[in-house]
Amino acid sequence: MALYRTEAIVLRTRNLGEADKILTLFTESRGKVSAVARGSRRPRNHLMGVSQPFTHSAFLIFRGRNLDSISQGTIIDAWLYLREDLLKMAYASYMVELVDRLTEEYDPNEKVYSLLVATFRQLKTDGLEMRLTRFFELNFLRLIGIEPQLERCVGCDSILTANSEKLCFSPREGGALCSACQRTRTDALPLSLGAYQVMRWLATADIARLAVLQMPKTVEAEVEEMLRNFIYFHLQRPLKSLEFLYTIRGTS
Amino acid sequence: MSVYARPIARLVEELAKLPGIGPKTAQRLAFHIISGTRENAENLAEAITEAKEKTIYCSVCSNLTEQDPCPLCTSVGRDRSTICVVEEPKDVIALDRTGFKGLYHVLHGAISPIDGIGPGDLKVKELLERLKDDTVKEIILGTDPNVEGEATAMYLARLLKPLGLKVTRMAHGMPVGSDLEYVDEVTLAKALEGRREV
Repeated sequence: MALYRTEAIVLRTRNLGEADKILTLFTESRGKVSAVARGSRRPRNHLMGVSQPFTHSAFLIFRGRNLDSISQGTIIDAWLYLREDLLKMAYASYMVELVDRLTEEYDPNEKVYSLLVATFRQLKTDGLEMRLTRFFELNFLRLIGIEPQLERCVGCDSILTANSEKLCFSPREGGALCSACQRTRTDALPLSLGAYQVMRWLATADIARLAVLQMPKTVEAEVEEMLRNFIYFHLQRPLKSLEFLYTIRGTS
Repeated sequence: MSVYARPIARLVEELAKLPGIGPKTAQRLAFHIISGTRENAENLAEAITEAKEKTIYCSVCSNLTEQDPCPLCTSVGRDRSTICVVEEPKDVIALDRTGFKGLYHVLHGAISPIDGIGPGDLKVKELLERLKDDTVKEIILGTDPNVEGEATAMYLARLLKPLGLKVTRMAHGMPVGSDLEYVDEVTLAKALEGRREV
């Protein structure tokens, strides 16, 4: 029997037939996996609880020829606060969509899994949602190998420091540009020193220390804008959950 | 080249578009229809066309109906001060079996950011429209107790509370006839939270 045991986070679910669901999981040992949770839409089914988006569970999965199927599951953490706070739910939706869109099935990446679990755990703290999302973006992009290059100019490879004059950010070239290189580019976005420092700090920060960061609202918005452009360049399509996130943020 | 005769191939193709119907089931259904009487086949075809042509959304509650406003909305015996908000027309049928006497409002979906379904894709505007006069005193949020349904309920609560209405959420708890040991911890926690004195 080709059974395997793994912990996983449910990225998304879609209905299948009368009473089943296909879960897209991000597993600890095998990366992204699609698996059927049979009967999980029936009341009293034992898989109902583990088939909810965001839920962190331990699974026993049967390796099928086409699609895997879930044999057993126990909830490790259901992150109740993600279901009780719309803003947290909106940020979590954005993060799972990002992982879903930028990873391939059966491409194991244990660090992405750990990052996702750690980020969801930290989402419990009120007020950190935005910087936690930026932290997640920068670290996730690094773990899948497409992080923006910030230490050196993407044009001439010269070392950039916090003292460098006038920096720019180019999503197309994949990072920051020095003042000399940006003269020859037209699509680079101006990058303030504050935003540059915040991005460098977040890329290497300890997740438990995010609360210590002092960041003005304007810088927060600028970093968000830079990363949104960067991610859009890689996906070439906007993420669906962003619209909802902006609606909720606009009204809260 | 297809092994089916062209009309059969077309029927199989159309049936296979239905949810939960694969190519094999579609083929079985197609052959069943063909081997049956002409009358049965005509009845089926007619029923499909009629259902599609004659069902409309009720302009009040957005439920599926033949006449507008629907019989539920025009019925004199119902309590007009309470509206139960649900996700799908199927939910109205289930709730009405319980003997609930208030009115309904069908949203036609639930908020699901990752699928790109936001409040704008639901019948929320229509609900707000119904609250303009003072008849309605209570809104019962009857969306599904899953992540999408909870998000929808939270969003609606935020929208409706400032209007000075009583906004209630259906209880979460253990299914009737179940065993406590098999109930998952999330449901159990919710059931404990919502306990009441007997």
